[in-house]
Amino acid sequence: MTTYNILILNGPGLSGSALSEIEETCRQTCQQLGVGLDFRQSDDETEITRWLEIDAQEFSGIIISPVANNEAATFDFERLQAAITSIAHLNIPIIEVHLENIFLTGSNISAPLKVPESDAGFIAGLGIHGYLLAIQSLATKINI
Amino acid sequence: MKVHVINGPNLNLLGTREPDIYGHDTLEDVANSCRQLGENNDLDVLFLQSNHEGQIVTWIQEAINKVDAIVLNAGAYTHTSIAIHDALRAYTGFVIELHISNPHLRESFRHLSYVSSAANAVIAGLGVQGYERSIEIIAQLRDQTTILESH
Repeated sequence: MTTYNILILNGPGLSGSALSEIEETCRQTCQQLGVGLDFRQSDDETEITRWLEIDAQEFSGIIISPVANNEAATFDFERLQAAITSIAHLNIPIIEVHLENIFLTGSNISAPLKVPESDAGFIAGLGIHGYLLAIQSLATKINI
Repeated sequence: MKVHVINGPNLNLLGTREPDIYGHDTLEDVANSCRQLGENNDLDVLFLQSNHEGQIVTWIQEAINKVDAIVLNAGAYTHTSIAIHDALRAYTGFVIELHISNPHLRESFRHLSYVSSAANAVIAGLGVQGYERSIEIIAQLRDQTTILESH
C-alpha cells in the first residue's frame, strides 16, 4: 500500500501555542484520513525555500502558509514565488492557506502566490479550519 | 440557521462549459449535495443562480438580517461589480467568497476581486467540492464559536 504524505510549511511569525494547536489538529485530521504529515515552521526564508526545492518531491501534496500578517511587510514573496515556480514541473497539488482574509484593509499581504502549470488552491480567512479544509482537499485530489 | 448559496453568470452551464476547468458536475448536482449537507447539519440551505448582476444585488440585500451566512460565487461579476461589493458591505452575516478554479492562476483580468474585500473568507481552486466544504465549515463555525457574528 502506498503511503501518501503531506508537507505543511509555515513561514515567519507563525509559531507559538497557536501553531502547536494547529499542528495537533492537523495531525488528528491526517490520522483520520490515513495520510502522513510532515509539519514544519521556520522564520528563515532560506530554509523554507530549501524545503520546497529539495524536499517537495517526496510529498503527494503541499500546504503553504507563507507568513503571518505582522511579519509580511519584510517577507520576501518573490523568493518564495521563485521556489514554487521551480517545483511546478513536479505537478504536486499545492494549497496556499492564510489564517486571515488577506484582502481586507490592514493586511500586509498583497496577493496570492502563483503556481504555474499546477493544481493550486487558495484558502483565506477561516483560521484553523483553512488548514483542515486544505488537508481534506489534498486527500481528495490524491484520491485517498 | 439559514445559508444562501448565490451563484453568478454562466454557472448554470456548469458541467458543460470548459469541463477541464470547472469539472463535469452540473449546478443541480452541486445544489443537491449542498441541500443534503444542509439537512445533515441542521442548516437551511437555499441555492440560487442568476446571470443578472442586479438580481444578485437584490438577493444579497434580501439576506440582510434574515440569512446567517452567504456563500457567493459571483462568477465574472467578481472582477467587475462594485454594486455587489456594496451590497455585501451592507450585509452583516458571514460571507465566503467561493471560486471553483483559482482566479489568481488564470488571466490577469481575473486577478482583481471586488468580492474579497467585502467577504470574511475566500476559498478558490478546490473544484466544485468547495461548495460542500463551505457548507460544512459554516456548520462547524456555528457549533464552535461566535465567529459567525463578526463581520
